[in-house]
Amino acid sequence: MSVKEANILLGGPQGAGLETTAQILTSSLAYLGYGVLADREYYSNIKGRHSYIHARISAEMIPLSLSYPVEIVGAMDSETIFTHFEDLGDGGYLIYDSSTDNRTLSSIASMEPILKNRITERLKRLGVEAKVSSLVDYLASNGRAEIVALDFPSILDTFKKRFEPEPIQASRYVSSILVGAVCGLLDIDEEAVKYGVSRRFMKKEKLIEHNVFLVNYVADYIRENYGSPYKLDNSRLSLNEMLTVMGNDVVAMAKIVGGLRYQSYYPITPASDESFFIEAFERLEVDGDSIGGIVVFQTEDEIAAITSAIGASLTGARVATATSGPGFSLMVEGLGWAGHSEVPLVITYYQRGGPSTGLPTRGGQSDLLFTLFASHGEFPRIVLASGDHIEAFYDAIEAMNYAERYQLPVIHLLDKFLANSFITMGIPDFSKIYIDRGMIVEDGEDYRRYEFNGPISPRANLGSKAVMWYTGDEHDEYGHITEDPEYRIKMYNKRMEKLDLIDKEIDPEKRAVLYGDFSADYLLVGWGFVKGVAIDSINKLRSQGLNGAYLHLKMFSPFPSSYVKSIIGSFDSDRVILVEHNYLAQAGKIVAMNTGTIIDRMIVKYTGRPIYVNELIIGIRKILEGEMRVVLSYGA
Amino acid sequence: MEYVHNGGDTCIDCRYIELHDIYRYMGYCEVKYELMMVYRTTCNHFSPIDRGELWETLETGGWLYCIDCGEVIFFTDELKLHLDHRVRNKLFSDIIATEESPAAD
Ligand SMILES: [Zn+2]
Repeated sequence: MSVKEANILLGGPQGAGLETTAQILTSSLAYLGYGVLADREYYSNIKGRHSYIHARISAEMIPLSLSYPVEIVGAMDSETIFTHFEDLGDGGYLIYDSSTDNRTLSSIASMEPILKNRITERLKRLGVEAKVSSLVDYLASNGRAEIVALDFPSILDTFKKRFEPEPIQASRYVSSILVGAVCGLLDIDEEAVKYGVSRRFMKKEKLIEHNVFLVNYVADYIRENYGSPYKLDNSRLSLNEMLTVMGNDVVAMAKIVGGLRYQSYYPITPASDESFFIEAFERLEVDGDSIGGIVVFQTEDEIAAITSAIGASLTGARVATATSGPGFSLMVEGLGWAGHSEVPLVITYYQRGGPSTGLPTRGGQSDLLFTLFASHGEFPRIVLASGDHIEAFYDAIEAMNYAERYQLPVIHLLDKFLANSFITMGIPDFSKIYIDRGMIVEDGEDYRRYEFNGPISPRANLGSKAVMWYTGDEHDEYGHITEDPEYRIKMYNKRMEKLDLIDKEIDPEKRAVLYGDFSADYLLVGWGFVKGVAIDSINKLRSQGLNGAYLHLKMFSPFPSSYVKSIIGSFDSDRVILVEHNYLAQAGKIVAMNTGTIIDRMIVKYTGRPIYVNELIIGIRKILEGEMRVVLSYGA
Repeated sequence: MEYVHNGGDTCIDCRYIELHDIYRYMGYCEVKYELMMVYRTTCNHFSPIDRGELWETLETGGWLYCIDCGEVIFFTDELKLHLDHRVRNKLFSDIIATEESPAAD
């Protein structure tokens, strides 16, 4: 017996080995050619609070979305058991540390009182004492779950008889127990384990030896005592090479490949990791030959981040800055300056749960309206959103091309869900990549930076022979300040007409993508990370006889108005449903503004957790039965 | 008491043990320089923590930590609430958190 896919949830205290567990497992699975999507949920505290990895592993495809219940819950601590016992499907496997059997719910200091009360109430209703052993007994006795009880300290003691564990690496050994148990249940072989561990610990031979032993020791025990109930089919994905990457990594790689030369940032979740990744490649070498460098500049705040990027751009560098909501709030004045002065600039914007500090380490899509309307005055901007890791790769390069071709700020919208989820993906198709730096002049003869020859005047770099003036004030063709009303109209129009030009030049079908066809029974409309869960839910419902389609909105400015209007218009209005991670269903407002079509049915979620297939399916059914608004809430 | 205690003197009550800050079944032995499974092991260096010393330790060190409650103790009034608990003035952190914790602000 083997399975096509497995859903697992691994939980433990933040900063104590869970991430290592996920990385080793993902690499081992990638080595065997499986598709993996793993979301990481964590508190904004530095250490000790409950975090978990929720993953879907497939032998047939690269997963696009996540769903509950899961087949395996692996608990590094008792908090995970209490928090996630109902996420486990019937007959699923709970892996836990049996040395915590006597631990009570009330003694878990790291758990929020609100959640503790909720779980206490739930256990009371189930007639279960709020203690690990009682809960485990309940799960086992009802046949709800198979219990994999591992005495973590005893395993570590056995390990100690053979090796000298390094105290400074203590948590690693705990994570290897969990990796081992999962490898046993999925029947991941020793070679793949060795690959996963070696990749994680890069040349630290002792650590690799220790952890490979521990993983295999536990995996063998599991195979012997529980079999491998979720032994995966051989992978049918035909990828020769795979990347195991987070969304942050994908965007960073894309920027490097796409010719980025200057990136500024001020550290902020969930954007920083992208800049950290690029920093590692500040000196670019190919086969030992230097091919240049990328300046990655950590500024004192986001105001300096955007203004320094503007400065770098004016000298001719291909530039970007990366941030999230609170950082973008500080960038707004700079954004307006760039828009007015026609400076090519990419702002990679990772949305998180706002407003204010909000839910710093959770996801959201509540900043769409903000990115579209931020700053005083009017100026053209491109707002582009990516729906998955692969889209994010190509879009990050395209964003830099657009910025330079049209000489304006491009806001590339991503979210925490994408930023912090691991995925296995194939190597991008480099033949699809091009670099467009737009019109640049070297010659300085009577150079007019804002020459009236159409919406785009060739740009010259500071430091070239050309002379130009940048003030932030309204200006004439050279850049000199003018308040002349006729010049004002001409220059204003010149800037704003870029939107018409872009609208003409960029294919609407690239800016909004329809998955499915016009004969569908209903149409979901969404954007960003909603894409995967929308498509998967539609596929699931199709197997239940309900045929759906998904309209994926990618570019919000300029908006592909007539194309979107024609698609939405071909569905009955009570069959069109917005799916978004915000309260207002913000993309619906933009659709209404641009097309006059009001979509009044919506499924929204704003808990900061991803939308899961299981809940979206229920939501779609409710809307089709007549509800106007469904608010989703699944997930701890 | 959340972990199995075999009875008798085990490392958990030894003054030379720095308990792991997250996985409290592990501790670092200052005498043997080893990682110990503190509820299961003991050795001839065992020397129990004197509860009476805690008041002075709090005074000089400024903080104590109640393992049972997962709480930091700064004041003697607070210490009074944990007198029957396992209270310590040293913990050890491994290097993993520095690698795994996201910069979250
Ligand atoms: Zn206490």
